[in-house]
Amino acid sequence: MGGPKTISERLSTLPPGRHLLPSDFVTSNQRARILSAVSELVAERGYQKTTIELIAKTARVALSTFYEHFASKEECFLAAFDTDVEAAREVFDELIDPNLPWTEQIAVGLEIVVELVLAEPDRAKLCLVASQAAGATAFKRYQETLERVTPKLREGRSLNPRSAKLPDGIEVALAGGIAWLVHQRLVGDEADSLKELLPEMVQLTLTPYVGEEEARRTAREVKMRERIEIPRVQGGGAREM
Amino acid sequence: MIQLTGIHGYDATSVEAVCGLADVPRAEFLRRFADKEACYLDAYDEMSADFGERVLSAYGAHPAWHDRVWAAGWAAMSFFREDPVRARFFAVEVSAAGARAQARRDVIMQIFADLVDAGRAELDDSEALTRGTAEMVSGAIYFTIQNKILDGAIDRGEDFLVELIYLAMMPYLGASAAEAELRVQSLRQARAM
Repeated sequence: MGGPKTISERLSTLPPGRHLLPSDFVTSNQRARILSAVSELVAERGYQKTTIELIAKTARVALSTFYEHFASKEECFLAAFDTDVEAAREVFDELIDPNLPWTEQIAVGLEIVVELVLAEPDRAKLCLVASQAAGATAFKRYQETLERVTPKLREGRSLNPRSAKLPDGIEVALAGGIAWLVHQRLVGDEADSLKELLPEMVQLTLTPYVGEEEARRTAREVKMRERIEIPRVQGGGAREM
Repeated sequence: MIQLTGIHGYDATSVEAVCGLADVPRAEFLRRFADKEACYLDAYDEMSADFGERVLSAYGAHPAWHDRVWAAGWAAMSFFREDPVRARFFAVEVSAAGARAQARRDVIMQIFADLVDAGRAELDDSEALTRGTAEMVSGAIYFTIQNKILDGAIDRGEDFLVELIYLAMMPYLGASAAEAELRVQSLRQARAM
């Protein structure tokens, strides 16, 4: 027997059209298909060229069904964004041991970013590429998501006796820098190269707090160890509302 | 186009509004530009040529990388401070203006990464880092600028150049040397008192 199914596998097994399944399940499945469709289309065509008609067609729902769930393309996009960010947050919470040294938590966190991007490139494109082009509200969501990592990064200041002199915005800037690198690699279809860049991501992020020698040492350890395994998203998780 | 996009955002700017503000008939607009995107791109191209010329000239006027980064930073900040509306048009709304605008923005970012990447010559081992670090630094600087523009920091005349210099220098000169750059700000402020 195989492991738990991915979201894509579960969604594809429910046929469209009338059937005897409970209406709650049908509704949540339709919503999940729509969110999956918007991810797929935005990754392929970009936000501007993704239409509601295409989303409905790809999700195999009627246009009227789309509008039962979402008032607009933007609302649909934002729902997909929020769902994907929440799913990623659950993975971080599951895999990052808060009892690890702070430097190790950051290293593991960055490794999870890379593995998530490689495991779910469409969702990564939605969150890190399309969100910057999907209007002011989406961009604000993108900003807020990056800002959410700043408290964890900021913990590093306790390791730096000169931390009072660090710019206030250094943490969100570092998050923005990592996100930009991932953005560029996704746009260029070179996401695989992120694996090789992981040690540098770790080194750059840690240097302001622990200095370049310790940052380099942690980066070397990351380079040498086995890759972390991202859990498959369970059926009751991310996209199932 | 610049004024309306820089104040209200690209999505909220219509061809009608642009024609209204420019006091030109729609037919005249369409004679010059195929659509809103074409108009944005035309303005963006002109602006990016100006920005690029200023930043690259400043960068090239100094032999030492440290001074080059400072000069380029000054030139970029001057460009943004001169006109906060233009700053938003250029650095923020480009993301909303479609794939062609984003591709142009990405070219500028790669040029900028090249300027930062020259910092590898400052390392004992220039192969210890790849160009990826320069891309991350450029992205960090770009995100900071976007946030500062949206936050109104440029309108308020806030000086955050030294924050950007810190980000640029930290991977290549080390944390301590980059922190020393922050003290330049403190000295400048103390002298102004």
